[in-house]
Order: sequence, then C-alpha cells, then structure tokens
Amino acid sequence: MGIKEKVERNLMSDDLKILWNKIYERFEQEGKEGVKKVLEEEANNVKREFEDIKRNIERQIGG
Amino acid sequence: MITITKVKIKGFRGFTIEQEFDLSTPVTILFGENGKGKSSLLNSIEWCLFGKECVGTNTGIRERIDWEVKNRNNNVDSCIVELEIKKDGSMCTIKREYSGRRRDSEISFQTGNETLRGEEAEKRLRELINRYSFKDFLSSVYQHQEVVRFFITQKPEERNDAIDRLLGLTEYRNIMDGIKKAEIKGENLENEIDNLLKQIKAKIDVYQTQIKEKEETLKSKGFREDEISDRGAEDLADTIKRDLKDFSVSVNLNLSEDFNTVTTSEISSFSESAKREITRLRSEMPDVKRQTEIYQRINELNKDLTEHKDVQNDIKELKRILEEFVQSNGRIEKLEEQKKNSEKDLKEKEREKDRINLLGAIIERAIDYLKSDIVTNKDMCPVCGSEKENLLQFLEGEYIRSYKGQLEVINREIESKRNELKKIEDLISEYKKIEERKLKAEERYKHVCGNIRNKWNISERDDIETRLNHLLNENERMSKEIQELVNKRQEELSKIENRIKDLLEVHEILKLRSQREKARAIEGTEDFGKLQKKVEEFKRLATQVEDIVSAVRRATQEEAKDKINAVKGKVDEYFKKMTKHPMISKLDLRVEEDRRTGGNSYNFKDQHGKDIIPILSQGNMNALALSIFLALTASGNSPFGFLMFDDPSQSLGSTEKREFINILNEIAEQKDLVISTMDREFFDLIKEHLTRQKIIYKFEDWSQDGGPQVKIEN
Repeated sequence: MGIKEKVERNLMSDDLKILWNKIYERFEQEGKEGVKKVLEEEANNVKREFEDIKRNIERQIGG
Repeated sequence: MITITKVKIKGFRGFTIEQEFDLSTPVTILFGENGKGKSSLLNSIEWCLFGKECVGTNTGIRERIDWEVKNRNNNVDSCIVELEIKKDGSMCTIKREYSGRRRDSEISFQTGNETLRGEEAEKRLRELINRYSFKDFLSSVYQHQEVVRFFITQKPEERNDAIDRLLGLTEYRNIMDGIKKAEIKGENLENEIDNLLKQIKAKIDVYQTQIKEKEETLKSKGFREDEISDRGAEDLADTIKRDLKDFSVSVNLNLSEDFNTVTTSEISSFSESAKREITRLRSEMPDVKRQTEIYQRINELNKDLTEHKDVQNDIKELKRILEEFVQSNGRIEKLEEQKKNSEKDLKEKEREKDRINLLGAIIERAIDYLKSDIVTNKDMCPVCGSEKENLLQFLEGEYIRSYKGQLEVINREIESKRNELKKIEDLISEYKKIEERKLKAEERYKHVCGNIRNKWNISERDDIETRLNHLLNENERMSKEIQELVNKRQEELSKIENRIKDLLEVHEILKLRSQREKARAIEGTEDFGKLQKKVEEFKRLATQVEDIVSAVRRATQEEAKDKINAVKGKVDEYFKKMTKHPMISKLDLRVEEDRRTGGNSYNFKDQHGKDIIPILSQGNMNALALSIFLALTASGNSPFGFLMFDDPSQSLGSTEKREFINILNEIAEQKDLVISTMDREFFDLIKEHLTRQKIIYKFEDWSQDGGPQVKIEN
C-alpha cells in the first residue's frame, strides 16, 4: 500500500478524498512546491470570488 | 537496488588529472591521512547524484557553506565526475560536468544507446533514485559525521527529521512541508469580513458627521428640520421656479426652459438648468444691454476727446518749433537769398580757379617747349627772343609762385563757400520738413474734427471739446442711474442662486442619508450573505486541510511505529554490542506524537523508561548514532544498495571498533560498503575482521598538479 492509500484510509468524507487526491497528484508531478501551489490555487479561487463580492459591497457603500 | 561499480573523477575538489576507482567489490576501503583526497572521492559521488543540492547552507553541513567544486589548479579547465551505476542488472552512466563559466553544472544520463541531457537527464536521475533528496541520501546512505550528530546532539526537530528520513518517510515530510508553506488559515477571510464591517461602520460615521455639519449650516440659515426632506426640497425647487418666472416677467424676457414639477431625483438636473437660466438672464436683461451701450459711448467719447487734444497739441508743438527755428536762423526768404548769394560767390571762385589753372598750363607748356629738342636756337626763346636760360628760370619761379600759391588760396576759398552753401541748404531742408509736418497735422486735425462733428452731431459753430465734455458728463450720469438698477436686478438673481445652493445642500443631505441607510442595511443584503458563504467555504477548505494534515500525521506515525518496532531490537542489539554500557541493559527506541509540531517524536529510553542521552559519553553517542544508522539503513527501503562511511570510528574505543566491524559484517551481507578512515587501528581491524571481499585504496600522498597519489592493495 502506497502513501496515497495509507493517508486516504484515514480520511472520512469524499470531499476530503477528492482534495487529497488533488494534493497527491501535484506532489507526484512537482514535489512539495506542487502541494503548496494546489492548495494556494484552491484558496485563491475562494478568495477571488470573496474579493469580487467585497469590492461590490464597497462600491455600494460608496467606499 | 542501486550500486556504483565505477567512479571516474577529474578536476573535482582535491582531484586534478583524471582518476578512476573500481567500486564493484562488496567492500571498498579508502585509507590515508587527512587531506589526501579520501573525502573528495566520497563527495564526488554525492555531487554527481545531486549537483548543487549538496552545496551551500541548505545541506545543514557547516563545511558546505562556501564549498568549491572545481579544483583551483590552473591546469584544470573543468571538473567532471562520471558514475557507472548498476540497477536491477541494468547499467547506466551519469556524467556531471562544471566548467565554472556557466552558473550550473551540465549533466548527461546514458543508458544503452540513449543519452539524455539537461533537464531530461536530471528527471531520469531523480526517477532512478526514487526522488530521494540529498538530505535523504545523507541520512540513509552517507554516514557523514556531522549528520550522524543530528540524531543525538542537535535540536529534537532535526533529530526527528533525520530519523523520519531514515525510515523512508520523506514523502510524508515533504507533503507536510508543502501544506505548511501554503498557509491556509480560516481566520484570514474572517478578518477581512471584520475589517469590512469596521470599514462600513467608519463610513456610516463619516456620513453621519457630514449630514450633521450640513444640517447645522442650513439651520443657521433658518431652515427647519421638516424642510430638510424630500418634500422640503421639492417645495424649495417650486419657489426657485416661481422666482425665476417673476424675474423674467419683470425684465420682459421669456424663460428658455419650461420647468415642470421637480421630484427629488431631478434636483441635480433642475439646479443645473436654473443656473444656466440665471447666467442667460444676467447677460440678456435690457437694463444690462443699455448699460453696456452707455459704457461703449463713454469709451468712444473719451477716445475722441483724447484724439482731438492730441492733434491740437501736435500742431501747437510744430508751430513752436518753427518759431524757434526762425529766431535762431532767420526767416526762410532770408535763407533763400543767402543761398543765392553763396551760389554766385562759389561760381566766381570756380571761374577764378579755371583762370589760374589755364595760366599754369601755359607756363608748363612753355617750360616743356624750351626744354625740348624742337627748339633750334638753343640759347634764345623763339617767341620773345629772351635768353633761354633766364626765361626758363623766370618761368619756373613764376610757376611755383603765381600758379601754385594762387591755386592753394582759391581751393581754400571754394571749400569754405561750399560748406557755407551746404549749411544754408540743410537749414532750408529742415525748415521745409517741419513745415510739411505742420501741414499734415493741420490736415489730420481737419479730418478728426470732421469725423467728431459728424459722429456726435456737433455744428460748425460749436466748440468740439466743450461739446464732447458735455456729452461725456451726460452719459456718466446715465451710467450711474442704470448701474443702481442693474445692481438691484443682479441681487435678485443672486438670491435665487443662493436658493439653488441651498437646494443642492438639501439634496446632498438627502443623498448622504440614503447612503448611510444603505450602509446600515448592508449586512442584510444578498451580497453580504454571499460574502459570508465564501468565508464558510474558505473555513471548510482550511478544516479539510487540517483533516488531511491529521490523516498524513496518522499515516506517518503508523508507518513510523511499524518500522521502529521492526528495528528497535536491532538498535538495542547494536548499541549494547558496541558500548557494553553498564547502566543500560535495554535500549528502547520509542516513537510518539510531538505535541508541539504534530509530527513524529523519537525518544531513547533505558530499561527504566528514563532518557539515556544525559548519561552517554561522546563515544557512546557516536555508537548510538551508528547503531540507529546501521539498523535503519539495513532494514529501510532506500533504493541505494550501498552505504558510505566517513571516518566512522571517531571517539570509539578498541572494543567498540571491533564490535562495529562485526556489525558491518552483518550489514555487508545486504549492502556494499565504502569506508573511508584515517584510523590505523580501525583500518587494521577491518583488514583482519571484515570478511567480505575488499579492495583497498591507499591515499599515500597528494600533490598540487597530480592530485591524490593512490595505490591499490587487494
């Protein structure tokens, strides 16, 4: 059993398994930098949408 | 398993000329004093495999900080290390070269007929060694003294890291490092929402302050609270419309715009239109037009008065100049008379000069005649019969006296007469010029007077200046009268303008109130709900990352425990064999969760569960490090089928060295060994007791040009 499976058996939900698979896939391709990048990409997707809504609210209050 | 069968070195660190070492024998011993090139050989293997990864501060080895790869000898143009590698029966050759001209080394990877270079070669090499990093290599293949000490004497995190790597848990470590670097923290966006709420509150405060200031200004002008409202603004707009209409009627002008009922949202555009209307009324009011006409007339009158006076003054001035001229030089008729007399005198003088010149010419011809060969009678004048010599004498004297003397006098007189005539002519010319200017001024005066009389309807009997001054006074009086009227009208318009300003202020307050209410209500909007959902989403991601970190930790701990349980007996055995420590009858290597970092924590306990590190000597600690290294590398899943030892017998006693060799005999059953030592006792013990087939390289000397001088002893 490889690392991927050893970690996976400790993950309870499908969402977690999907995220872990993304992380491990990038680790295999790019090493630890790949892990950092894939997580930052996931975070940035949410942050970007957050920033768009925030800017819209700031416009509404005249900021 | 990877084994190295041959290494070829040129120009690397202590090496200059190319040298080749056969490493295909199960045990390779490098023996010699310090500084003879043994370590350079071991280093060449790691440099060929890891390139710049094994240079610099990241290695964790002090001596690697300013490590120079290329030999400094002038004859060395580049350093080259070539490894012949065997893996699962297949052979490949890796060659790394560094010339010092480029920043990085160049690598080639050759297998069969295929040769890869650059990034492709590096990639294939990483695959070959199962992506083992240089740190992994140091922990599980190359027993470097400084690295061994990490296990025991350095910070617990570094020891735990080194043992993790020995256990083949590198990938877990690297994944954890990557996750840590990403820094996904749920509170990041929560803080942003807090900041946004603070920003909204600050904005509401600003709106509130602005509203208050503006309300107070309006109230100081007499506005009531209820007038600062939509209804109040509409009423004020109605008042402005009415005022504008009344005013336009009073000045007999029509409004260009027909203002309908104004609602709050139309206040800005209404105000702009009303302002434009006021600007138009200001310029088009009949009183203003009349005032402008009077101003223009006053300007014209002033201009004509000035011009009339200027021409009169010009004539007066020219008359004065002429009078002064006559006083100084006499009347023009007298000057004309003087000119005629002077011309007559000059003519007479010129005639006199002609006479003198004629006389001179006659005397010259007579002298020439008397002196020429034509005269037949040489002693006598053929005309008058005078003696020639006497006549010549007389004529030459007469020529000088009468002719030259008279000519000089008459020339002076002519010059004087000419000067006199010129002076008179200049005076006449000057007089005529002044006279001409005076005539022109008089003509202009006539013209100006004609124009003014026509323009202002002044009869020939009236004095121009008196009449113009009278008209000027009359227009100035009218101007004053109309100015008062215009001022009154402008004041009325200014009042309307001020009302428009008030209207805009009321409108501004209404807008600010609306903005304030919008800001107050923002938390209940759909957008704000979406924002909070995004924070939840981000927090969920952070939680997921934490869950994955926990899962990775659990997996690494499970694997670490399995592996430690598998080797702890060997570590205990090796340590006890080597040290025979009287206080330690059992060495227990335990793995627990590091409460601070969440990673693996490895501890060394005795039979009573007490930490053994504080009671170990330097030799004991070295033996412990070697025990762990040997037990783990022997049972670990490193892809390398060889171990390298750099001076492993440091601080070990004779018995410990002997026992260490016994353990090496056990290890050598599974892996090839490359052992470098300067310890004669250890070397002799190896030769005698290490039973596997050996090749011994004796590093006898070292020279600057030849590098290490090595002899093989089988």
